[in-house]
Amino acid sequence: MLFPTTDFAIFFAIVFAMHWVLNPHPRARKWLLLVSSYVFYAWWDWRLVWLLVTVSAIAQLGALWVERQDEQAARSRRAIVASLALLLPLVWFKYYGFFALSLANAFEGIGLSPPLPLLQVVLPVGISFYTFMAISYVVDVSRLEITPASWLDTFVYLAFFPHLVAGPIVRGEELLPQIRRRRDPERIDVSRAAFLILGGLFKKVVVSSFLAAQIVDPVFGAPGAHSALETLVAIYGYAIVIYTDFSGYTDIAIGVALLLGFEFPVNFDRPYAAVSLRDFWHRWHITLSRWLRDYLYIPLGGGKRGEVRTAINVMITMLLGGLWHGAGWTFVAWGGLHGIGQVVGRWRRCSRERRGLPLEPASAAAVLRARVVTFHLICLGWVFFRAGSIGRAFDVLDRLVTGWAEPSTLVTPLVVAAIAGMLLLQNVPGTPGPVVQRTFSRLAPVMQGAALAVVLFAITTLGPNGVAPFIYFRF
Amino acid sequence: MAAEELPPELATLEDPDRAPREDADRSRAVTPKQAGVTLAVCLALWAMAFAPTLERTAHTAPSGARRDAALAILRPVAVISDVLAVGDAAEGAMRALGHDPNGPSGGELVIPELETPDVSVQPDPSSEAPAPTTKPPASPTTPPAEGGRRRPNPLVDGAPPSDIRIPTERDRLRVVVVGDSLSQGLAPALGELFDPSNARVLSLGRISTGLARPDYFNWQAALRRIVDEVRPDVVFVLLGTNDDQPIVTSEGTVDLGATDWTYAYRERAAAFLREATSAGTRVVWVGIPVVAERERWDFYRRLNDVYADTAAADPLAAYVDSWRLLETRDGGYAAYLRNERGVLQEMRAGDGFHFTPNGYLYLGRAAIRAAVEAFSLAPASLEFRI
Repeated sequence: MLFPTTDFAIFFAIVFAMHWVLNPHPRARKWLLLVSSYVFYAWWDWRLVWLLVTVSAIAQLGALWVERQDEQAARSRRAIVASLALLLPLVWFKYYGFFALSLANAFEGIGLSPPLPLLQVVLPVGISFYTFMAISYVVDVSRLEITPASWLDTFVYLAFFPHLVAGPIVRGEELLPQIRRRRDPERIDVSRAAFLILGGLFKKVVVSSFLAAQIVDPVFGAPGAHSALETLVAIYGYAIVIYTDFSGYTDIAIGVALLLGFEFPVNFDRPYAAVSLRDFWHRWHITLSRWLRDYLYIPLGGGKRGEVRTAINVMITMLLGGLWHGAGWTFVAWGGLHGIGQVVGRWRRCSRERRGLPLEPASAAAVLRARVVTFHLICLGWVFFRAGSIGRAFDVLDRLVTGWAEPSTLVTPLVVAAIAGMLLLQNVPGTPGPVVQRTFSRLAPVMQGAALAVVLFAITTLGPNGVAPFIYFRF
Repeated sequence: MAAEELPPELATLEDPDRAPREDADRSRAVTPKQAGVTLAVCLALWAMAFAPTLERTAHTAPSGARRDAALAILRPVAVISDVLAVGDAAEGAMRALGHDPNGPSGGELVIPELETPDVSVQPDPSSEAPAPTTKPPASPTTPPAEGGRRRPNPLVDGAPPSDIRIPTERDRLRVVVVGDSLSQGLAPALGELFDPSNARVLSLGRISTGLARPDYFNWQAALRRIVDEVRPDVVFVLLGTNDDQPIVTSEGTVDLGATDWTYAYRERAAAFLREATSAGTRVVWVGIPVVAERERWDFYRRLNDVYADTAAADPLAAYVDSWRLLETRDGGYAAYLRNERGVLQEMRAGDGFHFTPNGYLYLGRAAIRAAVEAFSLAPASLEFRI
């Protein structure tokens, strides 16, 4: 079930009403959340529900098994075993096809028949997200940061529909207490929820769909057929498309959870205002970034074992972070670029520190320069992320050099305005959002509903017929 | 974990400088009842504003319980919307936002602006290509096409069908791809395969469309516009996977199981093709490829027979048997196939219908080969070797 559909609107209206009716009865409320989350997931394919149930069961069994052991080292070993068990379905669904095909072509190259059957395994929606949440749950139990929850709470935690298919990756310590306790019926932050939901819808339905259809998809689909200017604007456009698409989804997810009385962590914080790649990862997909830090980078040794080892750890983390997005060399290249960028940035910072120079840009001009450079490095990474193959990525980059003599019919004023507007919103402080939100919150509920209807009407009218699935669903 | 212990390379929520911004003024919290009123008013007003559009869309949806339920809900909403004049106000607002409220449910066809060939430029004498020309205006002796418009028709005029013209950089070949979502995947592949300096590929496909439901999206009318506005040299057609439903005609509806369904569909396909070729445009009709769901095979093969027969009856059309191209040796479906160089590739998408980029390229190369064979499409138009 996609968020920007009438199916979801009807589904949520029912769940919202039932949730608050059942709020005084915790067990019934949890069952409602669980069943409604499975219905939400089954809307794509009911057969996928068994996978979600299986992953939830492995996580709970793993957590209980880990908890039984008192010695920390043994707990950690058990957590690793449970995490590997949780990773098995992800590896199978996400990487088997890529692995089997690569092996088949390698074996055929030396005259041998393929060693593994070529099966096309369909990637279940959201598996990467709920697998990571399940791992964090087991590891947090092993670290004594949380205690194992009840079976029902764990299943609700992993399946809760607002975060189920594309995050944010919420940790057990954040969500499990909220599942346990009845939600405060006096504190629904409807103003913030409405702004998040409508803002997310605007970003996805209007901005992302428009730029994707107008310039990004045509150029990345056939880079050779487009000019250098179109290619450059399409690269900038994709930076906006993936931000508006993914952050739009997350905004809606956070808003929907708020209406049910749940608080999710923030996932984006003006990522294109970053002054370095390190800063970018403080602002982009924050919940994945902290997951990689806490469950991969730090267990590898983090930054405490010398410069070289730190650089290796950063590279491993970013490469695996890239592979998390999909089985393909383009994602490895994307992760590798970010890894190299962060290692170089770290050496530069250390060097400046030794010379007594400021670590962050000191003047407004320096900040602007750092933002522009960082944004272009991020865009270079996005080319590989979007291209589909390494060859196609270089085709796109090649057009930036060779295609300047050709007409650029796709670069329209509206396309440029959409990209510039979204970049400005991230880089100019003091947006009117909080003031408008405060004013809105003072309106009577009926007037609030009418105001929201007007905005929703405009979004629906400005959007295309039918909305493409969110980009991060496939990860 | 304290902020100072955290590695600097990766994000941290605990770092106070990087903590997510909290709204300085927290919005007024409300009760579920108040929130419910807000949501209910919002959804009710939105539904009333869109009631005429939603009702029309529901009418064009495939028959079934879902359609019946939608209509049962929307009819009273539309009546209330009409009484309160909300629908009229909404239509006015939609027009103000540049949206036609009475447009087809399947969306409006948007044809991008094309560069006009520069006919005043002298041709390069060293080039073997003919001087760039614009298409001549319709001859007054040409019989009027449907709708009273006149079009040049080499067949009607008695002239034999000629090869596709040799394009130049000043007057590139105009290639249009129409059809359903499969065509939207094929178009970028064709864009890769044609030489961009000699050909412009336009993707004008619409998702969820076909020939059976002109009330949802009228491909015949759309093609008429395309021919008039774009004057394509060649049109690639790939559709049909959404046509497993009743055919809507001006006289009524022909049910899918009815004996005259295939006859009505054949008529529709022939009229669609006539719309393109009546102005001399060449058509490459790509048949429906084999799909994973075996239950659909008989029906899709029946449609492919219609397309093949229709194309065979028109000298300006060629048919590509993509079913055979993509089936396995034993006549089955496979996601992994060997390309022309014998390399195993994942050709089909996970849904068992669509293709991967490699698959679309494979299909696109077959479609272009058909154009080369049938209409002597000049190799100069292409980026790849036949």
